[in-house]
Amino acid sequence: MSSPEPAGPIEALGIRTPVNQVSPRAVRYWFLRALLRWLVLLAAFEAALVFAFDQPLRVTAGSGLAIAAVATLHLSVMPRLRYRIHRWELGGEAVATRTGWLNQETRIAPLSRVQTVDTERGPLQRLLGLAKVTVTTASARGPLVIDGLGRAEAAILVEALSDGAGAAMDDAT
Amino acid sequence: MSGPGGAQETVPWRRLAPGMLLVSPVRELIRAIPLLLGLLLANRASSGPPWSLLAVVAIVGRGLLEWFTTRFRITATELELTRGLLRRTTRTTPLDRVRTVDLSAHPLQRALGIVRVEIGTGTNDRRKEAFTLAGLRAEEGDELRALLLHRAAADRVTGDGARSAAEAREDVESELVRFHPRWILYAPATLSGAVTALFLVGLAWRVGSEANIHPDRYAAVHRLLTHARSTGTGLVVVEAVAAIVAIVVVLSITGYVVAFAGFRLTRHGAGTLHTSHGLLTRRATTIEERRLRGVELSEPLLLRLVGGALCVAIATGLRVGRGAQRGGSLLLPPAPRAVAESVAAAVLADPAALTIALPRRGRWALRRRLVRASGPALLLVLALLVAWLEGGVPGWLVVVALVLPVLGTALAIDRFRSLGYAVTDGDRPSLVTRRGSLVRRRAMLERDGVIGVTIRRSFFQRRAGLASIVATTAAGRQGYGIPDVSTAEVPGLVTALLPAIRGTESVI
Repeated sequence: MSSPEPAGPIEALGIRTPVNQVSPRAVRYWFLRALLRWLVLLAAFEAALVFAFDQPLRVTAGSGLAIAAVATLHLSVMPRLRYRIHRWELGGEAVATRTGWLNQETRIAPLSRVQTVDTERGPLQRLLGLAKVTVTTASARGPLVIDGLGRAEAAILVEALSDGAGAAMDDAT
Repeated sequence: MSGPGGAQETVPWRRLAPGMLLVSPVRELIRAIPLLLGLLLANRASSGPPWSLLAVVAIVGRGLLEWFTTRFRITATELELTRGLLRRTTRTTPLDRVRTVDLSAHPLQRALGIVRVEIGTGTNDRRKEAFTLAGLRAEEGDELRALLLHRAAADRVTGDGARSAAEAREDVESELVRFHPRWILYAPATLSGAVTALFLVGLAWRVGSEANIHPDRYAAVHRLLTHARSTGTGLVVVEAVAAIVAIVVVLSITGYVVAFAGFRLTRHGAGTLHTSHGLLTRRATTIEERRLRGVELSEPLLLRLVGGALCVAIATGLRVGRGAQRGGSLLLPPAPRAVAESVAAAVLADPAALTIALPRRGRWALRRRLVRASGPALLLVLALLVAWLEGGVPGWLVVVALVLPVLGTALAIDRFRSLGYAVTDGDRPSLVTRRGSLVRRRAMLERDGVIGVTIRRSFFQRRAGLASIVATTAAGRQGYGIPDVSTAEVPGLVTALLPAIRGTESVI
């Protein structure tokens, strides 16, 4: 099962980390995105406590502070950790990504099996000059997602991927 | 049928079989029976407009509409289907995208000589997946299937001389397995009767509540309750359990016979596998072997205890899960394990996948299984213990709850013993991965079918030096996993699964 040939750079994709990191602005992006979600959660929670359950000020203020504490912890740790973990690489034969922060996931797909490449730019991403690239294969469980990529880098990646995937001869299933 | 060299525009549109004018309304009426019953009974009380009559007219009308507004045609390269009255939608699929053809006919359809044709095209979008022709004449259905699958296979043979040989091969059919009455013995182990029983109870409840039927108005119920009150609680419980078990067994056997009587799996020379089964509704599925990527041997716990197993095809264009029967990928219903293994060996590209030994995993795997299965149960017992000490819950609850960690441990040990993986050698290597206890599955996936690898490391796995690998594929479940592989084994496994990225020329 283990090959006798020396491990070339692509072959080692399963072993070593993919080389490229995403844009440093992604740290801000993840921070802002998480902050918005926490704010929405806090507001909804407090509104429910006050209007639906009629809790006294002590309870609402106390729970609000508790949520704020957890949120601060999350926001101070997650974006930088994510930036350290998230990686991507486009080899001559395959594309690989590593995502996550608590639970990490590395995905590898041979270029010959890539079917579509999508670029997404939401409002927050446009503000920070970032993009999200999704590479899909024929498997519903296979998409590779690279979030927080700089615009220019994303364009280069998409073009290189399309060239590589275009060389495939069939429907790549 | 499209003539030789017929242009797209001259191919005529065809309608569904005329028998559908009868079948569709009847089917819709049958489906609406609970609603109609409710309306009818409600109508007796009030004196408003005849809702039930209007409902019947509406339902029949909808059934008829389907026939009038559905048209299809087959050109040289595509299959087109148009339906709808207010919003006309046309769906087109290229002929060479067709992966599977599934023919089924319930009793009314069979009496009228009609079949329902479902064409699978391998797209993963659930909404657009099946191309369905609700009713064609039986001969048309067979013609269509032959056209879609066998013609495509014959076209691949180049040269004129070889064409007639290919056509002769088309007719060669070899039978791989046939239904045997002995299989019925395995029916109760599938617990399908329990599902049916729950469904019937739910249906009865719905009809009863809509029609305002009260159980205590009936003498039989009174007699049952008096009997229950006069005998001791223990005996009543035993009787109730026995009654439930008997009902479930009878329902399971009936369900099994109705679904799988006359099961046949055959292989056609043109490169397709063909299954057909069913007593009332006859269902036939055809799978192109070119799209077959492997086989999964599945053993639900009860079935495994009595020595039975199921066999499911891993193919692009067929859904798995939610009852393999419905996805059309069933190669063998619950049957003796030896039969399942022989079917798998006949269908697999590399029969060694069936027999290769799966080395036992290390002790870390056992530890993780124990923690995950018994951990929550132990926490629950502890919580209950604390609650009992504070006087909140009775003592016997704690004792009963102790059963849970014990069951959890047994489950964990069984899961550990099921775990295993291997990659076979040979010219058609396959990934074999086995896991699960409540349902033990041995998935044997061709390496050519693997189109990506996902390596997942949770927080705890990173501490323990482990990872979970999922080989993604376009077939079957879309991904087959190997949990808890040690970090040292990961590189070898990845290169074994994706040799193409080693830089060798690979013909896809």
